[in-house]
Amino acid sequence: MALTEKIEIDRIEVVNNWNIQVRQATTIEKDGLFVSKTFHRWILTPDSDITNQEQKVQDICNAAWTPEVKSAYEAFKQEQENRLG
Amino acid sequence: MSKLETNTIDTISGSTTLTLGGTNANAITIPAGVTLSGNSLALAGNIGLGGATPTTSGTGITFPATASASTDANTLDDYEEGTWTPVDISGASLAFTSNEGTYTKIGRIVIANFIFRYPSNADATAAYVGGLPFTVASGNDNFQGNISTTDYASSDIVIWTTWTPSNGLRIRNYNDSGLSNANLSGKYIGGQTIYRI
Repeated sequence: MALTEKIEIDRIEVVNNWNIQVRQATTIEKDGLFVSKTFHRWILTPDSDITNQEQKVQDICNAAWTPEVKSAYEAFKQEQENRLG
Repeated sequence: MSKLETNTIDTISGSTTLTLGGTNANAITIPAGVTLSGNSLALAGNIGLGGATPTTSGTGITFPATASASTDANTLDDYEEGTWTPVDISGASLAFTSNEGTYTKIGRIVIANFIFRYPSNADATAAYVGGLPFTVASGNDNFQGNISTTDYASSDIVIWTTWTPSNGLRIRNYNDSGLSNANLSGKYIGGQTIYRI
């Protein structure tokens, strides 16, 4: 009997322009047959540190976070900060 | 074209399935474990929607790995459960300890539970916690949550608001004043949030 664990980023989504939504799937197989799958999620925004993210996540972030998008994010963030305090 | 008309099929012999239409591409097959009674349908097995492979553990309905959102108000279009990790996003680069969380997404609602402890610090920056599993609906930064356990001053109950720009939690006291990282220095916080995506 052999149990194997496979961990992979199985979803990278750009949501509302600047949010990069990432899902990591952990799949357990027994003798090659599926046993279970669990998920871990996180979100990255233009002010997130992405140096420890997988390269394909970094590539999506860098493609999505154009100077215009970064400016819009900072403006929205400031607006919310002023409103909420 | 042949046509079968019958009021009752009492017995099916030599097979666990009933197939109407033979090998025709449009044949209807009712496998063992499926019961049609009046206008009700009972399944002994599992259901996979939108091409999803039905679960092989337990009994239930499996939604597609990639949700197909419905605009119909009466349609449940997604379900997912998993984990997330609360992290400091105040800009002070604080390292939480004992930080973990779980989530359950039902349709457009996310229920996220969390625990974490602030490190000892004297940072005056407003306290923000990020790492939420799904993007918070744009323009809806007032989803509330509650703290179920903390060693923060008991006379000043901590609540929070989901903060849209960074998809985080804004930690406030009962009087709606934002708390700083220093206010929460060394404090343990556990709670839950429910928000819309």
